[in-house]
Amino acid sequence: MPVIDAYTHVGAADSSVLEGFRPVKERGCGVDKILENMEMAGVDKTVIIPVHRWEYPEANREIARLIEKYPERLIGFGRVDPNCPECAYDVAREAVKDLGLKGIEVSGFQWVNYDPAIACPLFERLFTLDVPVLIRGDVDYGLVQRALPQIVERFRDKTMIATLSPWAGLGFYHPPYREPLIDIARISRNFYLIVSTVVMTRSIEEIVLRVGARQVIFGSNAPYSHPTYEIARIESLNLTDEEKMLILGGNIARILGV
Amino acid sequence: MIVDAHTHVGRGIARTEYSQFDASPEWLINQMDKSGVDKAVIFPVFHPVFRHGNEEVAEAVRRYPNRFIGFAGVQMNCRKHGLEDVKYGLDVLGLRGVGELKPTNLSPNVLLPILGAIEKRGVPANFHTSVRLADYIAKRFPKLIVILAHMGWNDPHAITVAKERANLYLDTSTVSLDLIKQAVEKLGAEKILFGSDAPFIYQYPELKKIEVLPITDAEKRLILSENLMRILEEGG
Repeated sequence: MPVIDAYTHVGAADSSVLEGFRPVKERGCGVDKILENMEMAGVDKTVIIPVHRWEYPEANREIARLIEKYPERLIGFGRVDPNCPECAYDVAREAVKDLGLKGIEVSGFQWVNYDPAIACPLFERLFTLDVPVLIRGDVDYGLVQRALPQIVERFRDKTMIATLSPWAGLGFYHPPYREPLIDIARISRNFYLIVSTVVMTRSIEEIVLRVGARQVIFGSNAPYSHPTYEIARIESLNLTDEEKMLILGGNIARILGV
Repeated sequence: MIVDAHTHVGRGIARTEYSQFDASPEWLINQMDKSGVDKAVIFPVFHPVFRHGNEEVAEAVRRYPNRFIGFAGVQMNCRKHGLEDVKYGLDVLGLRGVGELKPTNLSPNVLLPILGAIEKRGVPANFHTSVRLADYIAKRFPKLIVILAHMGWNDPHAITVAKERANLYLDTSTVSLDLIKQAVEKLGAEKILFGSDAPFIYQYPELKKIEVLPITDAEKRLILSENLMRILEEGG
């Protein structure tokens, strides 16, 4: 069973009109760093996603170029900003249909369109692309609370992945952010949780016990954390070898067909 | 006369199988009559693209021309759709300002062309954003009348910034009574506009905050209507 790191960001965040202001404390890194991490940690494949940008078409094309260069090692996801839902679908469509990327991360700085009336139709369109849709379950908490239960209930057959990385880089893990996602994971077996950099290892164990290893995915959230450390944490859990293999690569391999 | 500088009308995309929110003009007129509000600036409710929402606003103004002043919504996070909203809402529908704008895309390639297009048309713009961004916008676009909704979410720094920027005004919707009082004392009534954010927030309690302020009747008149009417007259 291959070990797959399902969550990393590459590239450099854009600047903004406000001097010194960065939209989120989100960092990306160069692909060399990803490959170096993989070598050290014994990771077979890594999902790379653009770091936060104001506009994504070019960033997605850059991901596609990296995939072309390292097809055996990297899997590319595109990214779209949901704050203009009209454009988000077009950007996602290009990423999947033209660039061949394997999934879409939907996240924007201060997601303001998370009202179900706006978010649900957007996801409905994104699901027509037939790739997993990844959301930031911690940062985009408004979406999780208001629209996500409806989306998952309605599209149980569609694959969604929610991250549980530390909120805005604070480095700790808020139970209030976790509980709604665990409830949602019980609605659909096609809803997955990435437990990247959830600081309390014990929390990961609890999540696995409550939603089952089949719906939990390992991701390093590089450059915030290192796959060596994140893999060691999964290995330290009180789980069967089969469960660990599902988390470390089996689940994402099944989802992506790799 | 009392003019509410911050309300919403319409249902648009919000009325779908996913959500049933409805802010009808009749509901708002009823609220205004109950609260003693003569006129209201109406923004659309939130939309991904505001074309339809702006049409709803224009229709409400057509039906109640003596009660409503229509402002256009603008998609601030996308250059293409934002510029379309400005053009259609202001040039075609003839709305008299823009709001409530929620810019979250701070790319110079997105924000600046949209704001430039609004400034060029000489209409006021109501922003639901941070004090820091409102300050930047007011400085970068000195001819644009910037109205900061909710005083940047009850941020006392809004008062300092509004004092420095001649074109930056504050609206009182959801702002605490104490902060409104401070704003009048430090900034003067000339830069403050009464707003409620109806139908999300009821008008009467918002209005009550202005009525009980220990200020002169002339100052209350400025806040309750005269400042806004002056801005609109100057903006054409």
